[in-house]
Amino acid sequence: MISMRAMLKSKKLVFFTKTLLSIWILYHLFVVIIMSNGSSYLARFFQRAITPYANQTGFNTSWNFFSPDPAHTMYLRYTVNFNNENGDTIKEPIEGFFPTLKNVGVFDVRERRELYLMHYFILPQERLERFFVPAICRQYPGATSVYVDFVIESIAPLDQAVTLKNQTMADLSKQNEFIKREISCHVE
Amino acid sequence: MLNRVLKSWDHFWFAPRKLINLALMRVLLIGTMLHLYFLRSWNIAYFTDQSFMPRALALESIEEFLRPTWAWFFWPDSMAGAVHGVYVLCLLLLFLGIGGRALALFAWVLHMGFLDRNYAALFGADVISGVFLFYLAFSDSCARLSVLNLFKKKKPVRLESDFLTSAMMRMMQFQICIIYAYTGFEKLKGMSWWDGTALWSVLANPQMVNMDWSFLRHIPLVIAIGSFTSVIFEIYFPAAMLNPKFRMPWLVLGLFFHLSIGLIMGLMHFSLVMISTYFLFLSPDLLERAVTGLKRRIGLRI
Repeated sequence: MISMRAMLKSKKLVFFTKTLLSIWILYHLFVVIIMSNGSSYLARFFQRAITPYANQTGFNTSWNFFSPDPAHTMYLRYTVNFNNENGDTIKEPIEGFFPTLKNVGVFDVRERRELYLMHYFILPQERLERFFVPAICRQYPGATSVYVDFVIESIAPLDQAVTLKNQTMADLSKQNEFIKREISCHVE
Repeated sequence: MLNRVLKSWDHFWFAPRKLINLALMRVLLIGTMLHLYFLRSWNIAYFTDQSFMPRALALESIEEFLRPTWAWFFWPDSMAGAVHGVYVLCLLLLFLGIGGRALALFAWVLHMGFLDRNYAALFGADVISGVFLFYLAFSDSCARLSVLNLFKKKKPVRLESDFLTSAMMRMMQFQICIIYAYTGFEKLKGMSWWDGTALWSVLANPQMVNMDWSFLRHIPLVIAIGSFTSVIFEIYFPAAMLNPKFRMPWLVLGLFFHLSIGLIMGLMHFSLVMISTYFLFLSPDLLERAVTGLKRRIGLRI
């Protein structure tokens, strides 16, 4: 079997390979540049020519770390309900948070993926129904529904934090709740 | 004229380049991945039906515009742990400089498989390391700084790249410039980056940082300077790499920038993956001297 390195030494083959490689370079650069701004008109225009390749190889990412603006503190608060057929409570509801430590940072990569999952679940909200709630229901056998709140604890703007130096950041933070939905455990 | 253009093209993309840069990049990139994915062994449930992502919905969970035609995870969920073990072993071999292109390509397929299996639980480091592993899979990254060289006493160690490797090294330089530039452009869409307070939103967010940085409100200028510096650093990174005068200061700034992110925000894997590409912009002579000095000290032939 001819090794890759030996193949790259044959003159004709080198010329042929370099030609092919040059075509790939132009195409790949085009894909990488266009897909970095995947919502642009150019990306939509060339969608058929570039997205199958970009999506398959993982070059479909838009690079937007901490942008357009860094996120506020956010987490999901959920209550697992256990009711009978008449709707009466048969077991005390269980409250939980996702990520588990809610507004406290976790820096162990084995636990940190929860934060990234939470960001995925909230937009669009139907992901809560499809992914989050079914998993919580499986975690608590006998659960009938899960009530979910999406909580944002706002970070006080710098100007406010500077002006009100004698107040703690926790005092300056405002808590807002969104979504507020009860989702049944029995919906397929 | 056409001949000149073709020659320049050939020289730019395919001319032999020193392999020391690529080897050092491989060691840092794969070493970081090895650590990150060894730790992911505790999260295997994420890649099975026991967690939030049922197998049947794995592809569907990816937005339609970004969805691959087929999923790379060819293994059943019951084998996720074993396949993950094989993946970590591949990374260990590549870290040691064993295996070359075929093994790196296999590792990339496995990497993409885990990415596709649970798209929702991805870190930035997962995505970026996949991008650079793709390029490594087509380059001769294990020729230098390989433990195998310790046993090849008579055979000379290859010092320069073949044209495929040269093209991939050049492509990686383009790739990192594109990442930085777009990251900077995206920040300009945000009001807080424009008014220089974005860094405050990060440092005052207890979910993102590992200690209380709220004392910085007593020296708010640090926040403004830090925010603007981040944006300027990212947007002008490609231009700085083209200019030899700016290249080194920019890389030093980048090193400081990423190490700060790594230490303050606990995103060290992401930071090291980004820093690993800096080796591709450094003078090979400088790196060669550093490696030779180190080898003399420890008496190795790698």
